[in-house]
Amino acid sequence: MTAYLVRRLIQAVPLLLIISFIAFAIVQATGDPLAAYTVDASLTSDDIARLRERYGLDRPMPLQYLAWLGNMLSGDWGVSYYTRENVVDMVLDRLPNTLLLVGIAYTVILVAAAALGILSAVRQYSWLDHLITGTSFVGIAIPSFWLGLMLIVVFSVQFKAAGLPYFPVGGMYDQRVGETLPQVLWHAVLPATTLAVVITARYVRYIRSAILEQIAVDYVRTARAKGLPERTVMLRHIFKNALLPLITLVALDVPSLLSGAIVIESIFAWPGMGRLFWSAAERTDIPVLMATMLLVAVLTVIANLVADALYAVADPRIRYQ
Amino acid sequence: MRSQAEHRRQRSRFGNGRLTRRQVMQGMAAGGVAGTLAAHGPAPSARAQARDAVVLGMHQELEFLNVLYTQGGNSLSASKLAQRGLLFLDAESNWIGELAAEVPSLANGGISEDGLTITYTLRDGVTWHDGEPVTSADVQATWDMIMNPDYAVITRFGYDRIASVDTPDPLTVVLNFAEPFASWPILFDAIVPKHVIDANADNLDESEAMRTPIGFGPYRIVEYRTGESIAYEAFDGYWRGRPIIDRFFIRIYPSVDALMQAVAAQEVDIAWAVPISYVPQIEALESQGVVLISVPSANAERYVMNADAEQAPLFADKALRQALHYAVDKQQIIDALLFGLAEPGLGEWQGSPWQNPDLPPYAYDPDLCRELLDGLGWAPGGDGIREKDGQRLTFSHKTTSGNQLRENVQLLVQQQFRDVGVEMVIENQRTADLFGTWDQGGQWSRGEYEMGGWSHGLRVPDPEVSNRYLCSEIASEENPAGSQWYRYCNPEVDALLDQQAATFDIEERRNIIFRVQEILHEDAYWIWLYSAATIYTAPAALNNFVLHPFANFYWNPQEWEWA
Repeated sequence: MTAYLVRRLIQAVPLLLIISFIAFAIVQATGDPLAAYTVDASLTSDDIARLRERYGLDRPMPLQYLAWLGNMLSGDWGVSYYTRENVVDMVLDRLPNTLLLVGIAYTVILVAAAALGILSAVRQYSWLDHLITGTSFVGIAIPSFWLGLMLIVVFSVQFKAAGLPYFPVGGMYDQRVGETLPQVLWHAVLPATTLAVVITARYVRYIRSAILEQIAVDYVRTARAKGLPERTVMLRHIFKNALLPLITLVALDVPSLLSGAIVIESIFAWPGMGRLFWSAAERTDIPVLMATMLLVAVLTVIANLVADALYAVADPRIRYQ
Repeated sequence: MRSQAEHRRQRSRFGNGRLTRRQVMQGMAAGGVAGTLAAHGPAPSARAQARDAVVLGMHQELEFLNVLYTQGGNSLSASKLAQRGLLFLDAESNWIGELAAEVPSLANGGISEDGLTITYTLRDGVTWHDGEPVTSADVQATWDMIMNPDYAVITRFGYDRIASVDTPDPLTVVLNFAEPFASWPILFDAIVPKHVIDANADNLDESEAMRTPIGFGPYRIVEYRTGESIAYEAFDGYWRGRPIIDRFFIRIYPSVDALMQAVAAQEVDIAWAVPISYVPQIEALESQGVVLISVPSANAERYVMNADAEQAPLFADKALRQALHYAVDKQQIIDALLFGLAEPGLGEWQGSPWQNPDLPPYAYDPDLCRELLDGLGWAPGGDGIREKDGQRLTFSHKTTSGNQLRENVQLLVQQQFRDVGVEMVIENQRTADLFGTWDQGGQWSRGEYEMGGWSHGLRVPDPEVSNRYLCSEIASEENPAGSQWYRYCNPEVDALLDQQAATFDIEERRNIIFRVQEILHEDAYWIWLYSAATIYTAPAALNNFVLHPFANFYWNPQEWEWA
């Protein structure tokens, strides 16, 4: 298994290089980082030429890429063209915020999706199953930006107007109070809920069908015949085997969410990776864009590896050589 | 870099590592209310604390909180709460002294006869936020910093005309120009302390000291969290007097919608630069004590006829260009799409004392337009579109796609042209494709348009926008950095613009700029549509909040007061 993982990691290196080159080429093609300045009368052509040279933007693209790659490999991810912060610091600043949001949301998602999925499968075609299935279809169909805005309208604006306790509209804390733990959790409620609703709805469907596949197979009948309690049959036998597709799903979802639930972070002004990526994309802030995109690529590779490792845990028949 | 990185990493999740008096007090306040989550709803705490704080919400990410390093409009404004320079603006947008005790002029001897020497006398007793006195050495150090090739300051415009800076005594600064520069009042709009520059000299650009600079403005920056917020505190030693409101916060929202929700929930007191399409939403909040505040802006939306006869041969005919002006009903645009919150377009210098008010307007007159077009030989064809020698009177029009206001205005103007038998074909493009540089294939820069629509303003009440008109600024293969998009070239205008740039008598300079406008008006390449007002929302309970055409919200924050 270790040899397998090491081999996979080595294979990932050329993959990441190719990804980084393609990403660099695309970013270059999306616009000119200095375009915004050409509008301004207080910047002369000399100023623009000077800044272009300073940022290395006057060189051909492949050379710019090699320079970036060399710096990146030596730990220098560059400095944002716009905020002049070290990119590593910017990422380290934002990543915990996203981790917090995604962490809270995923705790809710996994517990709720497992419970609802099992319930729905065990009581197949009951009114409860119909209710859960129906609701999850609605959940899948709702766009997250709409749900987020509706939660704000109802639980922030309307509740406030009605004199009820209300949730904040955006941000991580109220500056007038300060960044305290209760403030942050209080501000995380609506965005985490939005994220949780949309993803739970999807997972419930997958878990339900995975369990239904397992529920009728021979080893389950054997387990029941041995006289195992229904609870043990469900959790130890059926659910464990039904986990495989879920692992794949989570492994693919989590890296993309860590790169930022862009829409949700934008609606709730949550200062996470998604906002960082988006604001960098708007301004063609190449160092920041490259760092965030490469981070997603690396996380995806790692998450896939972890998923493979977890397959072996969940299903002992799977062996890696 | 190291020190900054360490500083940033030290920051724990819920505090800053270093404890300041403010944070201790915040901690106490938070501890007092942090009982249960439910009890911690912001209603009571925020209300109770609102009296000593004001929160301004922006819907655009900030760049860098330093005037010398940024051109972002909101970043400049946010910086100007803390950073100030030699001069400032009065209510009528005239220059007044800030660090300078008075504005140098020919009359008071501050400007030499040849305009090459400008002498400032500094205000005595002004101190930096850290308590050090502000002296002429700081002005000199700022100039050295701007011209230092190791530092990536954003613009050297004007500073590169200075040959040397003399500091005969701590309160006198003498600027010796190598060539005359009539726009000198725009220089040194922010000054950086010498002792801070010296302490960070080896890595100034990326230092925390430049990211959250100290100045001598009414508020000092306490904390800047990129993409999130800025916290300021009133500066006790501000020379005009300490601000009445103790704390000032700027919060970043990722969209206007999010910002407007925050205004409705009173998370935000003041909303920065709200687009005009949100006017109905603002009016709906009036019952909750939210007021719409507007001020005319120095920013005119224009429809430009490409002046390059090869790229847009149709518009080579001056009589045709002039005729087209009469087809456009500016007032209809303002009433139908801008809620009346705009002024009909006048010209490039609109909203500043440099706009020529006496130009005969091309008033809306479709009959006159038809008559003129008939006279030019453009006769209505079968489908109502005019023709001449088998050529249809049609041209393409480009503006920013996805900008709803622009697209609506465009449809209206298209209809107005159609009414006089002129066809305007819409070919909108992405912002990046239009506004890129020559090297990036920017379509304005390359002149790849027939008629184009964009807006362009004045940042400061100074008339110097020559780069928009000078022949030498037309971008080309040989001149890829050129910043003129009109592709207009008129030697007479060039000469006048050069002349005004070296004219130090304000009246005389104004007359030259007015003369330039007469020529441009006659040449008629530009249809000036409207100048939309800048719109903010503010609480009715906030007294003395004044929106300034140029110094927007940072004009008088020290006077704001909660009722």
